Amino acid sequence: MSGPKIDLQWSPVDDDIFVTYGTSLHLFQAKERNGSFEADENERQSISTITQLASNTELHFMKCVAWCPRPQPKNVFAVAQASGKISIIGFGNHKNEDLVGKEFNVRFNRQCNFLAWNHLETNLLAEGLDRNRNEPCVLIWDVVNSVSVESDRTRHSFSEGPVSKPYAELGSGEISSSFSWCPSDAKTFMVGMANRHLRLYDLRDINKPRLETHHKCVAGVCFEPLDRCRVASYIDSHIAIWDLRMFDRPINTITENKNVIKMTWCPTKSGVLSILCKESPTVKLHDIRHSIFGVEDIEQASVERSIQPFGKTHLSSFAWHPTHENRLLAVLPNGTLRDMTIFERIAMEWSCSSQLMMPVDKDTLRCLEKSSDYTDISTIMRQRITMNYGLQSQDVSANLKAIEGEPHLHGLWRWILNLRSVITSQQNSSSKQRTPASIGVISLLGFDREDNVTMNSEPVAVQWKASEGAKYSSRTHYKSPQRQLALQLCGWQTDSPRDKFDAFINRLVDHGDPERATAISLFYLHIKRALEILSTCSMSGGESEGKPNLQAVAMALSGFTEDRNALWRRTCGTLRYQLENPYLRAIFAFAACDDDNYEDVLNEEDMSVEDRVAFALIYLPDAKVRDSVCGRQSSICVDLSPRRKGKRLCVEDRVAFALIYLPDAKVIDSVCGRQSSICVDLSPRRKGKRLCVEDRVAFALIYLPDAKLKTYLCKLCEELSKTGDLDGILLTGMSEKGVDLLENYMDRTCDVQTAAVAAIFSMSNMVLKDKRVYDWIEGYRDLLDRWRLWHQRAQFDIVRQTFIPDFRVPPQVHVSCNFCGKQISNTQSLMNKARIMITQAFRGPQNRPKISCCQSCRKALSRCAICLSHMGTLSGLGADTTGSGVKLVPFGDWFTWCQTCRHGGHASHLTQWFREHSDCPVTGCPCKCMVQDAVSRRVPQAMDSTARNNELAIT
Amino acid sequence: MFLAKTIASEHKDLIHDVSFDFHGRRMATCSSDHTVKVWDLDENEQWQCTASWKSHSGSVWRVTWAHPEFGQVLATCSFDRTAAVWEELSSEAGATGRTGAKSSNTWIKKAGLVDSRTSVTDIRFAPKHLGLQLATCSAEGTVRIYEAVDVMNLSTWPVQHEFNCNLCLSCLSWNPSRMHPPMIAVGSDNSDNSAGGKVIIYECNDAARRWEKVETIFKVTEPVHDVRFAPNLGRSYHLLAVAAKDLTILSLKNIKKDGNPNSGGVSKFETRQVGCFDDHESVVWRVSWNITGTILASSGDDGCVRLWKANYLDNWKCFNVLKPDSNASEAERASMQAGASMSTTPTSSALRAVPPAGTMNLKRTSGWPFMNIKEDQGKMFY
Repeated sequence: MSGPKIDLQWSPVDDDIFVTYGTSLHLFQAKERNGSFEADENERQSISTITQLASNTELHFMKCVAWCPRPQPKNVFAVAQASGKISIIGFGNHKNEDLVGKEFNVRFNRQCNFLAWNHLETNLLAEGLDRNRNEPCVLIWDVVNSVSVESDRTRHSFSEGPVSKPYAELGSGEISSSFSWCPSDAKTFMVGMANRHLRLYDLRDINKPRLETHHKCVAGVCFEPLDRCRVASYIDSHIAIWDLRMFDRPINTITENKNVIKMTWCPTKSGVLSILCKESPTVKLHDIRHSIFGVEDIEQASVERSIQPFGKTHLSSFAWHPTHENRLLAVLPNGTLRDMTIFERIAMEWSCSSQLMMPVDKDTLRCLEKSSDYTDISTIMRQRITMNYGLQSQDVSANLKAIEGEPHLHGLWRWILNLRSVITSQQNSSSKQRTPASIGVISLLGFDREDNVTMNSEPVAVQWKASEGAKYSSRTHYKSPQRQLALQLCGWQTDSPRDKFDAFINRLVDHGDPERATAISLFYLHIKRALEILSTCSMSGGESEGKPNLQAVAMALSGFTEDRNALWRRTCGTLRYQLENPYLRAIFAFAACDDDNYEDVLNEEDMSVEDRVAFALIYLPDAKVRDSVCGRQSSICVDLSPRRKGKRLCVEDRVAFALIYLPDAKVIDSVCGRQSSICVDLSPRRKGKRLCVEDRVAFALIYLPDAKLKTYLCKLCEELSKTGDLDGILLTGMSEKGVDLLENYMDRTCDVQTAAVAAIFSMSNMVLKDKRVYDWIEGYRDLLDRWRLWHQRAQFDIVRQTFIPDFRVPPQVHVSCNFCGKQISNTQSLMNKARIMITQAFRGPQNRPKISCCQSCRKALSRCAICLSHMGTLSGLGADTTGSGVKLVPFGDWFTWCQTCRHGGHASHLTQWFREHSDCPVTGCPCKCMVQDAVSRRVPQAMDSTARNNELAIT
Repeated sequence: MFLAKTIASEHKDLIHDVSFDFHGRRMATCSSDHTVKVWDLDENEQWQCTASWKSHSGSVWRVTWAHPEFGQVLATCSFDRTAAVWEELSSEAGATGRTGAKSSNTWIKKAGLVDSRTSVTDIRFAPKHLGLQLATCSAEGTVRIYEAVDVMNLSTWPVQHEFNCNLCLSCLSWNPSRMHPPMIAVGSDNSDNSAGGKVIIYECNDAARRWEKVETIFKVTEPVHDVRFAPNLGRSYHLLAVAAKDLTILSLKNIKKDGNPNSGGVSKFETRQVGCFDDHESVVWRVSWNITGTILASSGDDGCVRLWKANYLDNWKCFNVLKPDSNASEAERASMQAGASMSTTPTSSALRAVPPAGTMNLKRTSGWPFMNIKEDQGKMFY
């Protein structure tokens, strides 16, 4: 207790006043919580909410300070000096107070060890002293009454003569090291004495301790403020926790690594003991209530928390605020203060509807709900499902509405749509060849098979369709039936029926994509048409921001020349990279390329995979350079970082890049140079503007020869699959590879919705046997159930069944006859029987067929408990014979019954009954039907799903 | 960015756990005050406390909901060395009171699980596809798997499996994946950092019919306070969040076993640490995943709740910090307007401010000779 140690105390009266004392006494005010105070003179004027109110530096050899808990006068302290003398001092104006200025002397000067005010009987002040002969070591002064008790002399003379007669004294000839008043009982106190005793005294009888125990932990005795039976004490590094009800030995002991210098109970939280060790930066909090008592073989695990108010700096002392919860004030040896809040540990949990519930303290729960400006896949999926994403099996394109803002999903849906149209067109034309559902370009072309015999594409020289007079050499297209189909999958129309092609192009133009229309026309060598599109569009559409002047493009394009050395080509080659639109870039790349070297087009990394593939399909001739391609490939791969969305383009690049080096290698250098320049100016997130995969594929389909096409497509497919790019589904189809791709997509985005929906819409039975797909579908259904979107879940199941007929929900409930036990159901045979009966009995659609008896034994069905008529109708039995499937039986006439007592009747009657009653309508039945089913009460919409697995019979 | 709503909890001590049911319409909280409270969303989307009962004779550490398919069932575990299974029996008043002001539903203790000799620190229902199973872990280091073999009878919960980890356990988490064999991760709050990895993963070996240790996360040696598997939804890897001194996110990828998956071998994992963050600058206390496992919330001793999200490159980043202070003032203002939490504030402050005068008077009248008020001094003279 020597050296620069600074201790501190909160005012027992005021909320915001505290004092620090070491060699001098400083009074502070903390106006707000969580303030700090720099002891450093230079920074003292900083914006601190802790202000120093007063100081008292006149006290010498200050040993102990105790704050008087009396409400008036405020800020009065008892200060004990090394001699044992106690002075009552005060801050501020205390002229009228006779308390301030009093002094209490001990008979023999001894060191004072503690001072403690009684907080209940605030006139009592306890002082503890070292041993001196036979003198008592604990003195209890009555600071108020001692005046009158002492003598009238002091009162009259106003002289502040020291008081020397204590109110009570005990512990003769011993040393007292610590003292604590019981916080709930003013007469009780505990003293640590003689270095080996802990004694509990009652002030009314101080001759003999009420309780006594022998233990070495005699320092720092303190009662827990919130639990009158719990006491803690320590010596050196050992801490003992006591329960007064079993005082013979400590209920718990804690051993610290270093000597304890301060230990207090948290005054606002039960069972929390805070300990500061010597030369330690941390205040440790032990949760005494949750430590394990009495079990020796298990190591101590009292919940412990460490608080480091100043990081690694060693603390001098700390103090809890007496009333504010979790408010701790810490002080450094240099006087720097920090008032901090110890946060409760927050247990929190997400609900499935993206609420985050956090109990911030014991009486507040805080619930956070997300507002709209923040997106997570969970909220996105929820939004999509409200727009019926994946639920429209009739009009597949309607599903796209929900994902308008998510272009990365469009490729998938375009594939589904294109595939559909291919299949339907085949059905219409009744051709022999049937395209299997869920096929991708690669398997369509047979590239996934080992034998490579299936495709024999023939090169066809196609002339430029330019205006008359212009002379261009021809370009080579490749054609085969498979290529044609694959092109259809890419969504491209061939130019053979001219009107269809024109319609296709016009549609593109109308949809505001003239660049793409131009590019495709040009790829089919309709340069005139391309120029027309450009000029008309530039006339009609106003120049929107960022769009290059299409007219200028048309002008440049019209200068197209095949002269290899012409200035035009070189200019095109370099300037086209300035163009923002990938299709325009592709146009010039195409126009400017050397014969049969279409790599610039295929490389158009912004161009979608489809287009690149399609291009390759059309134009590429042979594969002798594949080896060199592969060699190149690897060297390029190195410096391209994979898996980045923005840079993903580069990955595709890499593939296409490889194709560049086919015929002549002299371009390599220049291309490499360009390549990097492209990469630089490609800002990420240009996804929307990319030349889409379809178009790239389609281009490849037209221009690339088989072998090269295969290399190109396989590479492209692999890359897309690795990155989980759903556009790649076009290539893989919904095959094993496609599922791999979906899995990668799923791993990346957790978009289980799209994965499940895509698997179902692909209509591939094979895929649905894949465990992963099953997992997605179940995961998605589970998700919908959790969101209580049962209707959507049911719709999803319906869609699943329409596409995958293998999947069937078994009937959930069977109703059987009471007498013969046969099933009463609307199987077809029964229907037929019934129809005969019905048609004889009733005529006209308004007469619903009634079956009021068992079909096999002709016994009447049971009666409705409400209307007491025989149950007459069954669900679906009234379906009319034309097979339109219209249900004539209103829901209200269906059977229903209590799951517990098996009484039931017409649904409408029972609904009405249970709206007013909770017990069974049958006389004498004690069943409280309505109360039984807690689930339906909680979540009324859940009726259909909870009944799902109940196979019950009416008995 | 976030809307905060404040609800008066009326717990008398620290709330240790909060748990939502399957649909997120019900909530249970448990506290050191030995009670469990159940909350329901009412018609106006406000949380109402519909049940509160003393469930244990010690701090209730955790509360968890069973899948609604098994009924309205809660399980709690406590410092009093027991765990308990509760089922809601709605009284008639509850049934009709749906439209009324406050329905009081009764929760019946269906079973007490008293096998532990020490504090039961965590309790979790297994994912639904495993049936009605319940895992507990205790401070003595034992994990017990109970199963209600007959789901209609919630009063018998035989111990199906029991294994000891030789570390005092603080938390456990089931792997929610449907495709993977039953798997549990446990965490230990043993403060001895040299005791090795504090997160251990166990898997149920179907062939051997017992749980086997498949992985110890040696990376985490600090005391662990919470572990949580992310909802899987069909991803090919499992995400595990560990709250220790730092927040650690681990990805466990099943290395495909050759041949028959039922061959009985233990799964092998490729464990990758996808993130380790000391942003809380103190102990991380709890972690929680959102429904898709794409957002992670963590709370720490700094009093902040941090929200984490992975970007395209699978880098997890903190994208939001919820500070209780700033929110508190906001929320208090909000609640002042709504008048929602006003009822508690006066009561709690009344509890805190014990009137000293009254106590003094009581003492005085009980006949002790020491007076400390001026009038009493007067009496002393005569």
